[in-house]
Amino acid sequence: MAARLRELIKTLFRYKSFIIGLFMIMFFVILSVYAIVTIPYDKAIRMWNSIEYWEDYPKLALPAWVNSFSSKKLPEGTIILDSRKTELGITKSVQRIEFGGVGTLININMRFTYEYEDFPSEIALWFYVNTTEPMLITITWIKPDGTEVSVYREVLSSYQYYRLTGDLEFISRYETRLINKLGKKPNYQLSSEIALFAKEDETILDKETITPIKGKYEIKIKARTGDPKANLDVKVNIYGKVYGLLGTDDKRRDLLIGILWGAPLALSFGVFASVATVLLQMIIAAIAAWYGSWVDHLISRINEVVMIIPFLPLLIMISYFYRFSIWTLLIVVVALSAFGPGIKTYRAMFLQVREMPYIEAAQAYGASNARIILRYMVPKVLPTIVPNIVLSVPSFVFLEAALAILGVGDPQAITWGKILDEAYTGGALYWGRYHWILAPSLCLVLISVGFALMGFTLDRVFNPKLREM
Amino acid sequence: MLKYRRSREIKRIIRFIGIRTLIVAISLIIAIYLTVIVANIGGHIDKIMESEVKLRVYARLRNDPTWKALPAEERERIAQSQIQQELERLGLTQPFIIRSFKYLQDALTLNLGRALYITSGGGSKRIWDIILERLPPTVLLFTTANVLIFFVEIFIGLAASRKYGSKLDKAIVGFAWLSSMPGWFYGIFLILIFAAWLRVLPYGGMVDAPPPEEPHLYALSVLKHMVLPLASWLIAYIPIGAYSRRTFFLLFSMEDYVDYARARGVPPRIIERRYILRPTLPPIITSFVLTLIVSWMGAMVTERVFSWPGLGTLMREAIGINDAPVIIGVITIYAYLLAISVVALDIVYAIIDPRIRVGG
Amino acid sequence: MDKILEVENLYLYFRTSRGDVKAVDGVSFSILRGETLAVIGESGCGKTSLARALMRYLPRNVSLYRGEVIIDGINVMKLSDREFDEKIRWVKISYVSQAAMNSLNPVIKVVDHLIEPLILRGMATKEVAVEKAREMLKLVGISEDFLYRYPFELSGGMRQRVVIALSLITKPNIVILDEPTSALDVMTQANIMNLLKKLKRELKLTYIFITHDIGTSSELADKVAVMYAGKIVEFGPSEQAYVDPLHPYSKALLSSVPRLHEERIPTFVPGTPPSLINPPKGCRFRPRCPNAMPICEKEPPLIKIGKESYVQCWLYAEK
Repeated sequence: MAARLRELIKTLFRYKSFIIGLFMIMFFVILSVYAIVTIPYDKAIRMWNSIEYWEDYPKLALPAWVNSFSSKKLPEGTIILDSRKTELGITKSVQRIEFGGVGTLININMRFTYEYEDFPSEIALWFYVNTTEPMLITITWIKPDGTEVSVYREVLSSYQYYRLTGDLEFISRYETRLINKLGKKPNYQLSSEIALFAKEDETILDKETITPIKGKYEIKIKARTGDPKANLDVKVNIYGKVYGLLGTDDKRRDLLIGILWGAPLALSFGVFASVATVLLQMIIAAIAAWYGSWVDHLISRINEVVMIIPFLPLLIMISYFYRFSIWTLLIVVVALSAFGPGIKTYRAMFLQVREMPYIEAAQAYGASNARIILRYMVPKVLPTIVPNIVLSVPSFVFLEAALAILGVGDPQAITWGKILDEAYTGGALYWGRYHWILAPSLCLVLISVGFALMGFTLDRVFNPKLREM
Repeated sequence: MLKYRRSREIKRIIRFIGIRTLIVAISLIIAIYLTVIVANIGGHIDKIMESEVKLRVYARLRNDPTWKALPAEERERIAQSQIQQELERLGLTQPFIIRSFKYLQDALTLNLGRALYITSGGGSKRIWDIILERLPPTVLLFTTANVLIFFVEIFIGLAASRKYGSKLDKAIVGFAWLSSMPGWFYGIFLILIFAAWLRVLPYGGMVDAPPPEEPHLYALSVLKHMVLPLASWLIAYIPIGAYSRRTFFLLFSMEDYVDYARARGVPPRIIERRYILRPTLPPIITSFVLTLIVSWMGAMVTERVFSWPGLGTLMREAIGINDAPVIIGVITIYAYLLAISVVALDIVYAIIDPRIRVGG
Repeated sequence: MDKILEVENLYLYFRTSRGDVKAVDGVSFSILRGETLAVIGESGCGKTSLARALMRYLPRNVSLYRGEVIIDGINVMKLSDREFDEKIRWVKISYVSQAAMNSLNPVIKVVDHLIEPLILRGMATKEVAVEKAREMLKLVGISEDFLYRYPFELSGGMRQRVVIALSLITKPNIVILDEPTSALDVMTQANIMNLLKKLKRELKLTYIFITHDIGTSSELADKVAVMYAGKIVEFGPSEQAYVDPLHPYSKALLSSVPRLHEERIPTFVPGTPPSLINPPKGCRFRPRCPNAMPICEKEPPLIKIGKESYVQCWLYAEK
């Protein structure tokens, strides 16, 4: 038996398709191992579903390697200027006023260099205000060519998150400034990023000609408050347009992490579901074929009835009402599939095997039913079952993805299907963020094709019905 | 003599169809009952029924001038007592088991109630109306796809089985893996290529917006929108279908009676039609039923991907805004559609398999 | 009495992945009109391939097919496939296949089976063909009622009769019967044999009866050809072959049949049938022959014995 197995395996490896398939699956197994080892599951889930964790990542960033193909060098990652950290380029001075009125004067200067040829995607500021009296905060932005732009002038008493991008009031103020300076309005809709980074000459008026100024930028933040014990820290994020190996999604999450952790989930879900379903079907079929009479009858009727029950809609509904975790989902899927169509085929095979003389012989020497089923009948059927298991893995992986696309998947899981759904709903196709859709899609394709190639080869080797014609 | 046989045959066919319909009906009832139970463990159906009752009671009371004249507290008290009476009358205060059977009965008779938020194009909130609106697009797309796939599969499988090892044959074996991915998945890529990049075909929907006035232009527009969804299904389901038909035909062409027919000099065309195709029809129909069942499920997601205004998109919408009654209604309809298709195919099977007609 | 079939040096080889199968390896014989030739031998000796060679019913992997076959005066090997189909196949010679159980299309009624050859060859209109089918069924002893039934409604024996009817409906002269009774129980076997005898008489048929069952074939046979490893090793009138066989293989075959009035224990032929891909060099029976001699390493010639018999064995060579 073992020798025959070795023979079969050697034959398998003679097929190119098998080797290619195997490589594909191995690739994902390695990814999975890497994922599990570097970021444990619960940490990954918490990370993936938290907003704060991804605060400093750009939104909808393209992969970094896009820069190699692009004519303009796109800003990468995020420039984080945090006054709470002691870094070069950031100076903070706190002055306590004791006479002529009580209070605090705070000066924060931030310097950074910008060498990119395209504008940032977003600019945001966090004001960590610690004061008992209102605090007046002004921000001046100085471009490398010395142009100063007054960005902010507000009174704050507590923590404030300020998204400079999309601040229409600031933009219209800047537009007025341009009109005053250049006599014309730009022929497109200005953005805060352009306002703060572009050269203020005719180039700014035409969308085709705007370019960011390269060089050293400075942000001057001044704060004044009557509270002598007050403190202010400011964090400024200047978000880029590209990041990492696979870019980011609309929640700023690094897609590499999502894709990485999608691998073990896809593999385990697909393989467990497949193995469990096929094994269960096989056992039920064996019982039906072996015990015959009313047992067989009952099982066949149940099988027919279950086959017609609309599996997916029910699953969707169950998932909808009971937002399952992906593992409970696995169990439900297997339970619903156990009485599925495979039973008819396996039962027919078992019926054939039952007629074989060595089964009768086994009965004659007193072997128990369980032993006969497990040791004699099942191994006969195994060669057909192994290819079936491998071939049905992709359908389970896609089942999970389908549930995600319909919005009833595990809301917290990190699966390729979920990423695909988010990409589709988030308008990836519309906004040209193809990487967001392509990354999970490509993974799904590779894993399916991998299992399919292996499965079809297994079928040809183990079931040579048509080998010699 | 023949007339006697004919009537006996018809009786057998009817008996067969009767048994099959019974089994399908049982599945239907179980499926819908499961739906009812699952949906109501969260108390959803109860809530739906209660709000229906409340709606009716209030509507009735508002037409009663004496009620309107009463002070607010009084009005409220009467309304509540009437609602309670109504609930009892309808048996909605009974224990769960009994209630569940009532809901089952409602669902089976397609008395599906009212939606929470969704309305039909005509403004009706009755789920039946909403579903009726979305049903034709689903049936159109779905039936066309399956019929196409059925015939193309057989055609290609037959052509390949004629020459074992020919280029076509090898191609089919070589491309079977394409079917490991579902139709909706290919749909996403087709949209990427043909809508986003090449811009020759629409992103989704069933018809141009605004829809053309004239019927033949309207039909053309629908056809244009059907191209990508159909293509995605053809790519996904024909490879494995052609592969298994071809294997089927190859195996059946090795049968002794085919061999003997060739020995008798029966021309290849007739052998194909009468000796290979005809006998394989019953098992082909059986496996088609299976494909049908599987593709009903895939249909939901495909509709979502292509924003096809059918039941699948309705489902997604309902899930998105938590309109539980619609979800339950859509699932019920799906169960019915599946049951109807299966019974229809069983009828076809009964007619073409002589063993059913004659017994033996 | 004229020769209805003359075969000379007929070869049929198939190409397989392991080599060429020499199924029919230079076979020659002739039959007179109205005779029955029994072709006997073990499984795998090439009997069915001989039938196929005569019917020009060849698989796709033929590597050699040549020889002279003269049916009713026509040299059929010179005919094109189309001519053979039109003039010879089911016109002069027909074939009852092995496994008649499964030779009928399960979804087609008996009547449609029977009228098919007539209609396909333009021999009759549908109404006439149906009448002929009716007659044919009567002739083979099946009630008319079964005309509109399906094959699965018939018993094994009845199906065999239908196949026989099918092979006769175009009134051919020669019928090749390939193991017509092997799958049947003894009673049915006897019935079918009687039927075959009756048909031969009434329709003036010539039979080629292929079987491994020596007992049944002896009822009908006028001539016997013993096949071994693709060759005919003995050929002669049945009286001679069954009573006093010449070739050691024939002797062994016949002594393996139990006789009613003998006390001796039947023997068997030791060893296994030879491979048709790599047959033994020289006389093919040599490895299993009790009379093997050194000269048997060379292939023995066909040695004529008497007017009609020949044997391929060194034992009978003129020294």
